[in-house]
Amino acid sequence: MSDAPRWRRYLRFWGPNLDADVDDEVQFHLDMRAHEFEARGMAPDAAKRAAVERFGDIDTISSALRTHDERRHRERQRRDIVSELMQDLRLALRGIRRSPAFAAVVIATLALCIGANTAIFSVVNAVLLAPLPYRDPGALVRVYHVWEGKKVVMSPPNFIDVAKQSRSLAEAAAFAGGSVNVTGVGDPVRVSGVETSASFFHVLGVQPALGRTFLPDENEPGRTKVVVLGHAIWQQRFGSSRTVIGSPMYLDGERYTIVGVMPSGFDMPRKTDLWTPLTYDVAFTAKSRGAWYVNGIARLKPGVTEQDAATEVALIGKQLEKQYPDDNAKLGMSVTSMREAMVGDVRKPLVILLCAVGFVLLIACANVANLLLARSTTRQTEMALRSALGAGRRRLVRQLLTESVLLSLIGGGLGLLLASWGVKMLVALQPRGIPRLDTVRVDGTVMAFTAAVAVLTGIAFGIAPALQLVRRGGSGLALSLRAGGRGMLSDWGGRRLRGALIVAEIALALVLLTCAGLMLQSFARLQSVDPGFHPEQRLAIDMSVPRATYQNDEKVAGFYERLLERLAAQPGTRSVGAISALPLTNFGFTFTFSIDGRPPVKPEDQPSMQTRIISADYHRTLGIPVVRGRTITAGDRVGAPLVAVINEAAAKRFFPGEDPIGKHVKLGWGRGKLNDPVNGTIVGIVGDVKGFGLDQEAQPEIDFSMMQNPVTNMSIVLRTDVPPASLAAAARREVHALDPSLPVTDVRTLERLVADSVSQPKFYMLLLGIFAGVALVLAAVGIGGMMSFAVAQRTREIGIRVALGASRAGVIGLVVSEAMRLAVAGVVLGALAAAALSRAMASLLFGIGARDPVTFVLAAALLSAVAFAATLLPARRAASVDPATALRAD
Amino acid sequence: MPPRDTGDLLQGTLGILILKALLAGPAHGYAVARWVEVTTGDVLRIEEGSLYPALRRLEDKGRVKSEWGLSENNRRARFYTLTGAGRAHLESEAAVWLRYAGAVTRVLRADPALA
Repeated sequence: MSDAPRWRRYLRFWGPNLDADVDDEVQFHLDMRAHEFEARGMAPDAAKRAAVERFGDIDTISSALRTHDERRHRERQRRDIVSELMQDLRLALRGIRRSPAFAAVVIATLALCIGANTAIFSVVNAVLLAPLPYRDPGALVRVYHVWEGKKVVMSPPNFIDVAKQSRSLAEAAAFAGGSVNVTGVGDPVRVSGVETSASFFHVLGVQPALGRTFLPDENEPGRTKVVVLGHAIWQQRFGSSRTVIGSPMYLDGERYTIVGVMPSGFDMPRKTDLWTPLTYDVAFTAKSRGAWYVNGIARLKPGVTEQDAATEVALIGKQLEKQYPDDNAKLGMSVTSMREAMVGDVRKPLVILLCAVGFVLLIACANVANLLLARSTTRQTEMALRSALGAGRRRLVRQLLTESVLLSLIGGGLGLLLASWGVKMLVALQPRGIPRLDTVRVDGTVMAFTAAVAVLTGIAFGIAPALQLVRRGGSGLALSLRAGGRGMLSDWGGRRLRGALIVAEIALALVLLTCAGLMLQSFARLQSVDPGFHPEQRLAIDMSVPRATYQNDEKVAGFYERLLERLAAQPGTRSVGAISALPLTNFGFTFTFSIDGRPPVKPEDQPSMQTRIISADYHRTLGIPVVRGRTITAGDRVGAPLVAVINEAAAKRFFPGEDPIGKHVKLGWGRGKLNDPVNGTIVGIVGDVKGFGLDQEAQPEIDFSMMQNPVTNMSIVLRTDVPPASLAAAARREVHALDPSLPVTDVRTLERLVADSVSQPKFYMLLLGIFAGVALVLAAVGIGGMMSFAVAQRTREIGIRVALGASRAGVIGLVVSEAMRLAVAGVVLGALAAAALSRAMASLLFGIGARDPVTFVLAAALLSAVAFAATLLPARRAASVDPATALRAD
Repeated sequence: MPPRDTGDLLQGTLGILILKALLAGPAHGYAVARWVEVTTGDVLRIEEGSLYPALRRLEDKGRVKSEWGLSENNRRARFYTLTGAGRAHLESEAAVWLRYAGAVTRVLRADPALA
C-alpha cells in the first residue's frame, strides 16, 4: 500500500478524491502502527512489515472502504440535488404567487400555444408516426401498375405473375374495393365491402376476434359464399352476438355465411365494414390482363428493402410487357411501402402545419421572454441580495429557470386540456382524404411530447432573461442595492435583447401571415373554379341494385326508369337525372376505344377516356350545357340506334379539326365475356365537368344511354324548387315503394359534394389562418407591450425633452419611429425567410405562385399596420407626460 | 445497506467499543484501536479489517461523523467524533451490556463454584 502513487492525492485539488482518502487513512494507520512497533524496539523495516502483517488484507479492505465511500458520496449528491430542486420549486412558487397577474398572462399564453402544438402533434402522431396496426408493418408494401407515370390498380393476371415470380416478396394478397347492399338484418343498408384473396389477413398478420378468415380454396368460383365481418358492423347489426358465426347474411341479394369477425380497429384498406373472398374465374381472368381492378399488397422477405423490391418488380413488369404486348404495352410495375402509400400525400401539409404551430409557440416564447426581461428591473434587487448572501451564479440561473419551467409546465398542463378539446374539433372538421384521422387522440406519446415541449419552452424563454439578470445582479450589485431597486441602471443590454426578440417574433409572424395568405388565396381560387355544373338546389342519392334480383339489363333499366319517373312526379322536383359516377367524387372508369373509319392503331397507342352511363335529362338536371347537337333523350332505348355524347375536352383531344357528330365509337369493354362491346354514334357535345377535383383539368368523357347500356350502380340527382335536403325522405319512400330491400345511402346535396371535394385544402387553410391570426395578435401585444415598458422607463427623459420644448408630435414620432425600426427589420427578415420557406408549400397551392408578390406585400403591409397601431397607445401616453411631474418624480 | 450490527454480539460489541473510545474526544482510527488495546491490556484486539468498515457504518447511522484534520505528529488524518445520537446509543447499549454482563457474572459466580 505504501507504493500507492503519491501523485494521486493531488487529484483532490479538483474536488473530493475518495480513493486517495482511503489510501491516506490506511497509510496513516500503518505508519502509526509501525511507529508503535519501533518504539518497542523493532528495526524500522521490520516494524513496517509487522504493521502491514497486522493490518491484514490491505487491498480487500481498502477496496471495500472505497466502494462504501463512493456509494455514500453518490447518495449525498443525489440528496443535495433533490433538496436544491425542492428549494428552487418553493422559491418559484413564491415568485409566482407574488405576481399573479404576470403569471396568469404567461400561463394563458403558453397554455394556448402549447395546446395548439399538442393538438397538431396528436394529428401528426396518429396519421404519420403511429405504426400501422399490422404485424411488422415496416415490411408491408403495396404493388402497383405504373401507367403514364401514375400508380394505378392492377389486373389480376399481372398481379398473380408478379407475386409468383418475385423473389423479394414473401407473400402477397390482392383486394378490390367496393360496396354491397346488406339485407335481412334490420333496414337495408349499403356498406363498404372489400373482396380479398385468402392470404390477405395473413399478409397483414391480423387474427380474427371470432371465428376464422378465408380458406385458400374459397377464392375459387362456385364455393359457398362466406363473409368476415368488421367489428363495427358486428356491434351495430348483430348486437355483438358471439353466436353469429355460421349465420347467414344477404349481400346484394345473395346468401353468405358469416365465418369470422375482425377485432376493432381493423378496417383495411379503409373504413371497411366486411370482407368477402375475391373470386378468380381463371377462364375470365386469363383474358382480362387488361382489366385493372385489384390492389396488390405484399410482405417483403426479411432483409429485403423496399428499393430492392421495387427494382425487381419493375424488371418483372418489363418481362410481362414483352410477353403480353397487347395488354401490357407501356405498363410498368412498382412497389411502395404501405405507410407511404397511405400517408405520403398528407405528410407535407401536416408537417407544414406542425412547423406553423411551432412558429406560434416561438413567438409566444419571445413575448414571454420580453415580459420577463421587463420585470427583471424589479427583480434585480432580489438577485443582488441573494448573490450577496452567497448564492452562486449557476445556482441563481437554475433558480430562475426553475421558475420559468414551472410556469411553462403549468401552461403545458392546461394546454393538454385544451388540446384534448382541440383534437375533437379538428376531427369534427372531417377533412376528406386524411387517413387514420379517427384514431387521433391525446395518448402517452402526445403527453410525453407536450411535457418535452413545455420544458424546452420554459428554458427557451427563461434562459436569456435569467442570464441577463444574474450578469447584472453580480456586476451591478452595489449599485443595485443602493438604488433601492428602482432600476436606475442604464439598461442598454436589456434593451438590445428585447429589440432582437421583437424583430424575431415579427419575422416569424410575417412568415406565417404570408403562408396563410397564399393558402387563403389558393383556396379562394379553387372555390371560384367552375365545376361545369350547377350544384345549387340539387340532391344526389347513390343507388345500387343487386344482380341476384335484377338478373338482366331489362330489369335494371326498367327499375331506374320507373324510379326516375316517380321521383320526377314528386312535388318540388323540377327535373331528375342519373349517372353512373357523379362528378368530383374521384370515381369513374376509363376505357380504351376506337373510332370507326380510322386506321387501326397498335394496342399501346389506343386512346382512352372516362366513360359514364347517363339517363335522359341528366345534363339538363345538372345544368351542363349542350354545346352542339343533342344530349341523350328518352327515345335512346333498346331498338333505337345506339348513341353517345362526348364532352368538349374529348372533342378537342380526339377530333381536332373535324366534326365528331355522326362518328361511331366502340369501347374496348362490353357486357358478358368481352364480346359485344359498348358502342354508339356521337349525337352531341356537352360542356366539360370536373370529375377528379376542382384543381384538376376536366378529362375527356363519353356518355352512353342508360336505357341502352344499363349498369347496376347509379347516382340519382334531383333538381328541386324547395330546399333539396327536404326531399330526402320522399326519395327514400319512392325507392322503397318499388323495392323495399334496396338501401338508400349517401343522400347529400351537390353543394355538400363540392364542399367535401375541397375539405382538405380548407382544413389546412383554416388552421394556417388561425395560427397566423394568433401570431399577429401575439406580435402586436409583443411590440405594444415593449414600447409601453420603454415609455414607462423613460418618463424622466421624455419629461426633460418636453421641458426643453419637444412638441407632442415630436414625442409621438420618437416612440413610433423606434418601434417601427424594429418592425421594419422584422418584416424584411420575415419576407426573406418566407421567400425561402414558401417554396415548400408550392405543391399545395392552386393558381398562385409560392412567391406571389401581391401576397408578400399585403402580408408585410398588414403586419406593419398592426405593429404601428400597437405602438400608438404607448406613444400617446408618452406625449401626455407632464414634464413637471416627471421631473419631480425622482 | 450494510448488515445491521445489532443481534450479532461481536459486531454490536465492536460498535460500543468504538463509541466508548470516542467518548473522550475526536480520534483517528489508529487511536481508537490503540485505546481499546491499552485499556483492555491487549485482551481485546480490534482487527483493522473490521474497524474501518465499522466506523463507516456508524457514520452512516449518524453515530459518528468524520473530518480530515492534523494528527499529533502533524500528519493529515481522518478524525472521528461522537455525535449526540452516538452518545445516546452508547449509553443505552452500555446499560444493556452491563446488565447482561452482570447477570452472566452472577450466574458464573453462583454455587457450586467453578474449580
